[in-house]
Amino acid sequence: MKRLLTMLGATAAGFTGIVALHGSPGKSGSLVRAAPTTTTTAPKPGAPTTTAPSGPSNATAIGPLENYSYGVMSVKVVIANHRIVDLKVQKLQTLDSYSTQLATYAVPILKAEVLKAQGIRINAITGATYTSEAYAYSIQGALDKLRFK
Amino acid sequence: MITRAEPVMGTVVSFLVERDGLADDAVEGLLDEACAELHRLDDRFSAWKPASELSRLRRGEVTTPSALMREVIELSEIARAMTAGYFDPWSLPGGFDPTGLVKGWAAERALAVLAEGGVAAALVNAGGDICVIPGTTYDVGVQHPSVRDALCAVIRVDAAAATSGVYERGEHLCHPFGGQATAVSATVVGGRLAIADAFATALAVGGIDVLDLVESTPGLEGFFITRDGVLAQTSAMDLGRDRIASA
Amino acid sequence: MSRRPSSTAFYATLVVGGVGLGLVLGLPLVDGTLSEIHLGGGLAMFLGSTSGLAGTYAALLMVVMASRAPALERTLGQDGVLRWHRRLAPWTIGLIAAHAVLLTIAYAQAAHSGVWGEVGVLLRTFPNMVTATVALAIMVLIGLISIRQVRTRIPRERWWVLHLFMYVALALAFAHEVVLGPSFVRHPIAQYAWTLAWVAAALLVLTYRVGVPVYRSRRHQLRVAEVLREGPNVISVILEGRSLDRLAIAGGQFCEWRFLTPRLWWQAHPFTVSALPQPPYLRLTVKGVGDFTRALASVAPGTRVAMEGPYGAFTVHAQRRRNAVLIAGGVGVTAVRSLLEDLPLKSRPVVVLRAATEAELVLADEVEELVRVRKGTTHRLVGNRDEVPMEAIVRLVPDLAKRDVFVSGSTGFVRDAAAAVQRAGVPADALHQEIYAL
Repeated sequence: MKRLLTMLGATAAGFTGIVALHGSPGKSGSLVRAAPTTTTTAPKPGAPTTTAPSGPSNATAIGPLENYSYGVMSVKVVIANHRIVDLKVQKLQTLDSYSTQLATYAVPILKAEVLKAQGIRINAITGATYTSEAYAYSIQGALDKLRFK
Repeated sequence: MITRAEPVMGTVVSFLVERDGLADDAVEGLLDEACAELHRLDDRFSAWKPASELSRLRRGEVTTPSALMREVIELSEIARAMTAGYFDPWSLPGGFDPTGLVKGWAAERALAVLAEGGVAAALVNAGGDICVIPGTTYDVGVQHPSVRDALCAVIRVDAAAATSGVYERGEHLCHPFGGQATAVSATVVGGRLAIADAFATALAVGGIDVLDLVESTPGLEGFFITRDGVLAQTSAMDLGRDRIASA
Repeated sequence: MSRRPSSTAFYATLVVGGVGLGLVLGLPLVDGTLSEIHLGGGLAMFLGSTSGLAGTYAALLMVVMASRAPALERTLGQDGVLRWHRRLAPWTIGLIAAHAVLLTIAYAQAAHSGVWGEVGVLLRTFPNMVTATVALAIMVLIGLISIRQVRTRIPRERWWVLHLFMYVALALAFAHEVVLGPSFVRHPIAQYAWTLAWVAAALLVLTYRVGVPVYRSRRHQLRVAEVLREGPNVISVILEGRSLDRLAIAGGQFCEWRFLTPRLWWQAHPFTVSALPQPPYLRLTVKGVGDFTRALASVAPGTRVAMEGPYGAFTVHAQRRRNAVLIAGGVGVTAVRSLLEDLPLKSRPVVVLRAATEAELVLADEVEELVRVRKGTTHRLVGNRDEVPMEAIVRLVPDLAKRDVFVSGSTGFVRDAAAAVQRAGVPADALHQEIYAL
């Protein structure tokens, strides 16, 4: 009996320990789900009011961290010859991420190709997800830093 | 090129405007107007704002809907018919919810503000729902459903494009490959954005059945990526691979 | 009850095991799985994750116990380690099987597809799922051959070799745990801790089940010197080796022996050392009923022998009181015989030897001589259980309740004797048992 209680006590301690250490789960998910009604929407970085006619020809900037429904992301923007040549997710934290495990079969991955092909200029990105919104915010923040408008 | 990013309707709406002889101030003024239009529409059609006309309609407090509301209801009926019911704002819990179409429709109205003000070339991107003033073609990257910093297609948009499906584990989904949706990414190009938006949602849910509908609808093309990583597209859908390879 | 471990160490072990279980059970609560419980497949996902973690944690404990690390055996007792290893086995396999079923259901529900179809999707799409499925199949097969009714029909040594494939299964399953498990993906601390725990467990097994035995076997270079017939089905094997003075073995202990002939090398058998080393010799005595004993009788002198051990807590180190009584049924005499060697002179041991027939009273003369030197008493009892009831044995020793009692023999003999001895007032911590399962 004493053994059982010791074991149970230790189990409860470990259990409580990890739950307490980790903090309450799923916080960021519920926060952003409520975003449309409340002011918890990620603040708009920078003020896109003034317009500089041209940005730098070559530069790199990292946008601010933006919340999206399952974590936090920030986007790195690389500009060459007045063009966005690379968008990289610089930092991404998720609660968990099976999606990164997704194998890609027939779906093309256009990344290096896009960069090599300087003839292709991406004007906008589509993808109706929470990520893309955070992505858009962060890109805009990075662009604002570079005054690339 | 003048840009702006406006947080509204629970997302970010970004604008690309070619000045083409217009004064910066004039363009900025038009952008202010376009953004104001978006906020007005958000106030009226937000399902989250208790005082919006939509919320009151859902609570049964509206007897005579406004002209704008009647337009949205009519568009919703058209979209439901065109998508064979795969897009159905009346099937959602809590009553009529046209949110899946309002964002695209509002973006079109914002774009109209710019066009009427004399802008010849502009793009409005409402969180992935994209419309452009006809006459200019824009290259739009479609985010890869699983590789975060890559695209899976570069499509040419001369009217409208919308993507649906959930890349991250969004609220409709609990699992990597799509949960309740058939497709992890579904894109529809062409036509009116409000309709393309509705079709993209339908395509994400209905998969190949809806792709057949897209194929048979003149002016619309589309593709979707299943949770198994298989891409299916309509016959004239241009994913940009050839252009990129040859560029 | 074997050697009493320090109760602090014992409870510390319980606490470590318990905290580990708590941590593992807490993971699905904090990794996001819980927050999705209301979604399609969410409940099955949560339950499946939890059962997978709990089952694999049980497997981890089983591996640690299988290492027979001396510190652990001292703490839990050698029989305790084995008992827990056996007790956890059905939980491991059951929980892991439930994990596979629940997660397939979860994914099928989430995708609104059929369960069978989802199996294909899981195998084709997720990394490391094919190996994980092979691992599951191995585990289930091992589970099936371990069901009592099946297991009794398989020769012990064959079952033992088959059950080693559990290590293969656990290794195959590992990749999918850290690459796909929501508790480990993007949770580097959990991932490192889990990996570290398994590496540590693997090292324990490799050290104590492979490294040390190989080292000892090479050091002592044991070979069969002679095979003697002691009685019906009982043979002694005299081994000859080097440096046997450096083999730390106590009377009453056993080793796992491998006779390195083309036919027998793969089987390890636990045989008691019936006479402590008298360099360069060592003697084992074996009662056998199977093919192995017949094969052993014909093992040629010069055959090399590998050893693993010694194991066992049926030794003088377990003794708590001044005097002891040793009760041996049948071939249980082997442990008693070597244990006697470790008892001091004038310790006045009482030894009771029981066998069904006179011929089965093997080594009795040797025992009697060892007892005589120690000023003790030997009782020889011949007859089946009806003729020689346990109570009669107990009555032979008037001061039984003041002595440590060592009982060795068949499962039934030890069980009955232990019960009789306890009825006579011997407390559990003074009762030491060694069971010969044939």
